[in-house]
Amino acid sequence: MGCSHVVEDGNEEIHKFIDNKVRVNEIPINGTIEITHRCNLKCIHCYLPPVNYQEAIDKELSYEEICNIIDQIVQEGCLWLYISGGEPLIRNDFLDIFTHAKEKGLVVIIATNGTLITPKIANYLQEWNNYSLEISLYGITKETYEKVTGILGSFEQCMKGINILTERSIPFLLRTPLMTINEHEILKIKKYAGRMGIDFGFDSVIYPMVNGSKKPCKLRVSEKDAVKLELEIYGDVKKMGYKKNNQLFNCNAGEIAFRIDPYGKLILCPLFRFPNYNLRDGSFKEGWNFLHKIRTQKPPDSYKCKNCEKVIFCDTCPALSQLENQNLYDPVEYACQIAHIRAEMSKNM
Amino acid sequence: MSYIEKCPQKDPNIVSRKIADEVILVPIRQNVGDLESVFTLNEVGAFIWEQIDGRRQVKEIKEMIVDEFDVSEEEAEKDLIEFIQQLEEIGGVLAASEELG
Repeated sequence: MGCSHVVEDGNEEIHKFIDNKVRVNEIPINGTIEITHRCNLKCIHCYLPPVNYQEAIDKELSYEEICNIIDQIVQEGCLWLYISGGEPLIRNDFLDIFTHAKEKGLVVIIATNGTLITPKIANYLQEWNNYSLEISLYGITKETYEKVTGILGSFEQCMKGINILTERSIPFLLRTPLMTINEHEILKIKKYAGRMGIDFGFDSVIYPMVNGSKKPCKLRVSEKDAVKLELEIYGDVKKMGYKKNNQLFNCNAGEIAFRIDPYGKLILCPLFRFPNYNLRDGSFKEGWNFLHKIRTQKPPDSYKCKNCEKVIFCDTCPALSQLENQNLYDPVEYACQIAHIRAEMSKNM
Repeated sequence: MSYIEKCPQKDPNIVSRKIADEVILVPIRQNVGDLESVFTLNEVGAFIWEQIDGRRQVKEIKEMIVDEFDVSEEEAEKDLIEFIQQLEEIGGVLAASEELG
C-alpha cells in the first residue's frame, strides 16, 4: 500500500547518511518485493486484479530466484526491504525468504493483512531483530471490515493476528486506506491503535486498478472529508516537503527506491509497472540503470503542474496520472482538489 | 589479563554492511542488545571494525590505529577501549575473549 518512502528509523545519523550519501549517489537503499499477487482476501479497493492461483504459482519467482535477487540488491546497497504482496504470508516459503533477507543484513518490513499470522510464525519472527510489520486494518467492526475484504470471518482472523503479535511485543503499525465504507471508523481505529500503543496512519487516495479500471476510485471520500480527517488524525495537513517544481517524478522511486513484482519485473512503483526490466533476463544493476532513465525524464513545456504553487500539498504523480488519465502529465482531479483544500487550510493554521 | 590483551570477536548475529563507503551495523537477532536500530560507524570506527577478527588483541589494533591516524597512543587506547565496550553493549562484538593460541 502506498508509494516508496524511506523507513523512519528514528536515527539522526541514518537520516544524514541518506541525504548526504545515498541520495547523492542514487543508491537503491529502499526496496519492495511483491513475493506474490495471490491474496486470501478480495478487497473492494485493491489496485491489483485478482489472479488465478495456479497460474500465479507457475509464474512466480521461486525461492532460489528471490534469494538471488536479494543477494543482488544487498550488493547494490539496499538496506530496507518491504516484503509485500498480494498477501506475502500466503507463500509457504515466506519464512525462508524472510530469513534469507535478514541474514543478508536487511531491515525487513512485512506488509500484510494480518489474517494469516499464526503463533508459529510470530514465535519465529520474535527471534529476529530489525524488522516490523505493516498491517492493513480496513475497519474496526466486523461489518465494515468484511464489507471491504469480501470474506466472512476475516475480521476475526485479523484481530487474532494482531493479538498474537501484541502478546509477543512484536513491532507493527496499522494502516487504513480511507474509503466511503470505513470513513466513519477511522477515528475509532486511531483510538484503538492509541490504546494499544501502536502507530497508525491512513491513506486518503484510493488508486485505480493497475489494469486501468477506475472502479476503486468510486470509494474515495469527498476531498473535504479527506482533509478534515487528516487534520483530526495528524493535527496538520499532509505536506510533501520533497516536492519540487519542474520535475516529473518527485518521489524516491528510481532515485533511492525500487519495486519488484512476483514475476521478476523490476518496476518504479506499485502504480508504474510499464515499462519494466525483467530480472530473469538481466542483473539488478542493469535494471536499476533502466529505472533511473525513466525517473529522470523531464516534463514537457505543456506540463500543467510545472509551476503549481500547491505542489507540496499534492498527492499526484505521473504514475497516478497515467492510470487515471492515460498520460503522465495531466493533473489528477481528486488529488488536485485535495491539494487546494490543504493549501487553504494551511493558510488558516 | 588486562583488557588490551584480549581479542574481541564479531558477534555473528550482527551483519555489517558497506553502503556508499559507510559501514552500517545491523543487529539481526533478538538476543543482540535490546535496540531495534542500525548503527553507522565513523571512519575510525569502520577501521577498527575491519580489524576485529577474534585473533587480534586490542593492543595490536591500537598500534594499527596509531599507524593509520594522527593520534597519540594514550588517546588511541582510551578511544579504542570505549568503542569496543560500546560495541559490546549493542551486541556488535562478543565480550572481548582471552588471547587465542
